[in-house]
Amino acid sequence: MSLRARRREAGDGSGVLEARQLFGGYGGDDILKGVSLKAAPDRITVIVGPNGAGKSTAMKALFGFVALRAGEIHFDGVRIDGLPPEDLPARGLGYVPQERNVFPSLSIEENLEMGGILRPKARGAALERVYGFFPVLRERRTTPAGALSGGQRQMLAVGRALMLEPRLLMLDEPTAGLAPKVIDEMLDLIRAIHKTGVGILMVEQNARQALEMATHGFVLVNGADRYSGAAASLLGDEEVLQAFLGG
Amino acid sequence: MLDLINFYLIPGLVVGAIYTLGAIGISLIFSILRVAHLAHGDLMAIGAYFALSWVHLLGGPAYLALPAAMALTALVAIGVDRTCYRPLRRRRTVMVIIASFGVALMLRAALMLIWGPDTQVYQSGIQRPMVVAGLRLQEKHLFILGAAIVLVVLLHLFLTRTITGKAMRAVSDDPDLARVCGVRTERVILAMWITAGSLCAAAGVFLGVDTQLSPLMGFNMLLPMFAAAILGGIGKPYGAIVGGMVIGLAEELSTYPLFGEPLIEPTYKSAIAFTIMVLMLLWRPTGLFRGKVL
Repeated sequence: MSLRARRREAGDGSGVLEARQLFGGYGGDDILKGVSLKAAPDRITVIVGPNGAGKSTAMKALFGFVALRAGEIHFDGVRIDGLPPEDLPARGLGYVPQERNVFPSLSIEENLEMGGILRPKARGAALERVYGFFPVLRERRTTPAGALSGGQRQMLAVGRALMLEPRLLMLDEPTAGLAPKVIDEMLDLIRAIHKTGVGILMVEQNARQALEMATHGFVLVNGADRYSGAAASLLGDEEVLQAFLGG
Repeated sequence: MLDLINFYLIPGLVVGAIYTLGAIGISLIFSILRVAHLAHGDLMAIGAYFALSWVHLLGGPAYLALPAAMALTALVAIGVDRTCYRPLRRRRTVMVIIASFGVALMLRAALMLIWGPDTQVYQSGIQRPMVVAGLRLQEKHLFILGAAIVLVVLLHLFLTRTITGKAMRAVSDDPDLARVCGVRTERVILAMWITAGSLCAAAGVFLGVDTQLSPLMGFNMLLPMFAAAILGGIGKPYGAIVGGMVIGLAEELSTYPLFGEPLIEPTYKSAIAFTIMVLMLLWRPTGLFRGKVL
């Protein structure tokens, strides 16, 4: 049975990710104190908020890396909280962690092969697709990922997650540490990926720039979603602007 | 000069090859489980004794028993992992290290129960070496070196050409990121035990072919094998090849009578590996190939 068929059988095909009232952390005090989020294939959803608000932790929790004390996560109509992370890629959910998001000793091509490990037959076609998005990766396919610049490393990390053609791609600060010019390039690429029908759920430090390209946004404060809604309305909200986007 | 080659260099290469095959496994296990596998020497002895049973039952040279000994030892390694290590997977790794010490004692005891405590050999009698242009070539040495090279090349192809081998390197780089890709860590661990178990069985058979079999043969190899793994950079299987060869050669060459007397009394030979290990840990704990710190 093909991966896609299995995916359809398991889910409702919507590709919608929805988290309700997540509580949890890394064993000590809760870092997530009632986070609710939603993302869908036809949206670019961004999570913004001050440092320490729990943005990265929320992403990790969505992907099964944080033990939840309470709350539910549904993806594609299936309850996924409690599932181990390795069960999620086959369901159409992709994730690019903020740090340590490539295998440093593996070559670029081997990194991409790892991204496509669940679909051995489609690997060639998937490689071509990813190289189409990121031509520079093809040029340097035998280079170890550990030797790449920040921007190329980030491209590889995103490319790796695209290998299984996810319905929804979760990106944790894809522009962190990049030069302004490279940030624009990266955001353009994310837009291009979204145009191919992949939903984006993205944590971003550059809140204003992120909300400008997004359709929907969540403002996370102290482990909970303080504001949410259409990106345009968040950008037009005086209170949000004043408090979190620097006026 | 010929003496140096015949009695020091060739034996050094042979011992080095044996250390290498053991050290590769130690390095692989560390790279994936982050555990110093103290039962590796005794697992190696089990492999050697499997081949002994084959020779007793079916006759023929020990070489022919190699595949079966490797397969059976891989099974033992998997069984040990399932019963003794896997239940501790989510605990602190020091627990697994202690467990592996216990496994070492159990394997040794089982070995003595099954095969007896006495020293044994695959084949009795003396084999005459061929002499080619002054080089004394022993059939067993050619077999050990040839087979070791084949195994190392196969390992290299496995790690770089197969998706399972690449997944093994990926898990060693970053286990969480491998899970994000959908890699089943337990399957990679299974492949790791098959690889490490069969290679260490080969080392055991080679040691038995080169010298003799005794219940302590594996335990005695533990220190030089760890020294080789640390010298090469623990967690780096390729480093283990260099480490194993360096330790093997250093041990044998250290007894060369350069100034009429052996440089080091042969009795102290086994201190060489220990000295290299300690110096390495002090000077460069990541090893020559920048592995992990044990």
